Order: sequence, then C-alpha cells, then structure tokens
Amino acid sequence: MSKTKGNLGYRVALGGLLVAMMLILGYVETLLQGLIPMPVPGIKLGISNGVLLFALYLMDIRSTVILMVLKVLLSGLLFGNPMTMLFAFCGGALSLIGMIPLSRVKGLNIVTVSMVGAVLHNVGQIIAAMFVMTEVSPAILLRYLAILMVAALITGAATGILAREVIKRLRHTVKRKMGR
Amino acid sequence: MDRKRNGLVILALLLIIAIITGVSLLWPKERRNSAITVTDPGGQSTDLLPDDPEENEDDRVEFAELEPGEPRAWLLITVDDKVYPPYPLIRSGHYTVSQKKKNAVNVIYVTEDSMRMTSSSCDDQLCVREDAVTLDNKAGRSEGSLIVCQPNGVTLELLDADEYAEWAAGQ
Repeated sequence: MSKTKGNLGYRVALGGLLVAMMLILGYVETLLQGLIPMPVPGIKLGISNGVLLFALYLMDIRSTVILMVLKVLLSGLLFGNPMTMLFAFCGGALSLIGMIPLSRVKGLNIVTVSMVGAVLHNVGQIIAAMFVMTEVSPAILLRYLAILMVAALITGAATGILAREVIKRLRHTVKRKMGR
Repeated sequence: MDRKRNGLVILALLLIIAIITGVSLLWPKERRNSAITVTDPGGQSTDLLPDDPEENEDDRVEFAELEPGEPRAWLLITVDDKVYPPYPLIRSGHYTVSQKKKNAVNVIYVTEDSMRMTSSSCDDQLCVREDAVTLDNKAGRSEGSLIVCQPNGVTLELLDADEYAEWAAGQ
C-alpha cells in the first residue's frame, strides 16, 4: 500500500531519524522529571507524541504505527523494563487509534488532535495498569487518571504547538523529497 | 481551522475527564481485608480480627490494660465460629455487626448491664424478638446469657465479671 506511494528510501531514512529523535527526547524527558515538582508522579511531557504527529501529517499511517511500535520496543529495551513496555504500548496504541482518524478530519487543528492523543495515551496506560496491578483499587487508579488527564490536556497542547511549528517549516521539504 | 469542531472535540475531552473524576470519587472505597466490621457506640468502626493468630496476640495485650472491675458486663460476639474479644459495656449504645460477604447486618443495643438485638437483616427476626438479656435475668432465661441470630451466624453473650475473668484466663 504505502510502498507505492512516494520514495521508499526517503521514508525509511526519515523514519529512522524520527525514531532516534523519540528515543533521545524521551531520555531527556526523564532527566527533566526530577526537576519540576509535581503533585503526582508520572506526568510526562510526551514529546514522542509530537514526533508521531509529525509522521502522521507528513507521512502515511502505516509508517506512523511502525514508528510507535519501534519506539515502545527500543525505549523499553534501553531505558525501561518489559512492564513499562506494556504500559507504553497500550497508551501509544489507544492514542494512535484516536489521533489517526482525527488527523484526517477536515478542519481539526493539530493542537486539538495532540491533546486528544495525550489524553488517550494516559487512558490506555491506566487501563493497562488496572489489569496488571490488581492489588491497587480501581478507585485510586481512577483518581490518578483524572489528574493525569488534566495534565495531558496541557502537555498535549504544548506538544501540539511544537509539532505544528515544526511541520509548518518542514512540510515542503518533506513533501518534495517524498515525491508528492 | 473550523473553530466549532475543535471546540467540540475539546469539550468532549473535558466531559470525559469530568466523568472519570466523578466516577473515581463516587467509587465505593475498598474495605480492608476484613469482611466483618463492628461499629461501636462511639461511632468507631473496627474490623473484627481475622484468624491470624498473630493478630490475636496483640489483642491479648489490650485485655491486660483493661482496669478490672470497672465494667460490670461484657458483650461477647461470635460470628460463625470466630469468637471475638468481649466488649466491655461501659456506656450504652449500638454495636453494628456488618458482614459484607453475606450482606448481613445485626444491630445490638447495649447498656451497662444488658444487651439486646434491635435489628437484624435475617428473615425470621427471632433474635430481634428476644427480650433484652440483663445481668439480672440471664440466670433465669431458657437461653441463658445468649441471643442467637442463626441465619446470620451471629451469637451474642452477656458476660458478668466472673465469666469474663474465666474467659480472659482461658486465653
């Protein structure tokens, strides 16, 4: 499907670059987490979502999904444990399920789509947590989720604005190279 | 950029957050391990002790601290086959025994020298119909010092000072 559209070589190279970006940005995020006091642990900036948005808008859907899976796998192997991989995958999957159709809807601002993605990411993670961490009561997880979701609106907006600006400046170059 | 659509999506997000927040606040809190709770007249709820022998040890210490001779009567509650340490009756009030697993509730009204079952969730209500057991009448009653709620498995016994001393000595 996507192999016929555009330049495969360019897409592979760009994909590799984006995955590397996500890994580095994810690592930088974990460094920053200790600095800013948070009411609740685990609130992340989620710049990876921004990179995925970049891929979503300038590349095709299949590549974006592959990028998400690669990021979860690699950052799990490099920085985390299999447990975080599960949570990250659930969050990323739900987030893409929301972002992919919304990105194709006409008239929707990318910032809005990013906010949806961020919120869904947290929802996915908490749902996974409910199944894995059975000793914690759902009530506590749900309260945690509520706080996370509010934070996700803010971080989603920030990531969305970032993605928008990057896309604005790079879209012509990418489109040209992709052969469209 | 279509403002209305964006606004709608954001509104939907906020709605979902509101719902999650509401559900999380209203979700009934998980009771701790114990499925049986006794609420004393002071309003304090204590979970009746589980079978764990270690926990019963702590309880023995509590008894040593009780001033002998101050209360005149004790309420001994037995739920199924678990006997719980007697409650000294130093003031009147209601004890509530709730058993989550059976959905059974029994309410006991005690005074310094008596006890009776004021309400129960059982079908036959025989326990409620019993008159109060007092230190005076307990010798003459056919059931002795006992009130039994057989469907809920709750047995109440009124202990006087001698019986209580016997019970404490037997621990």
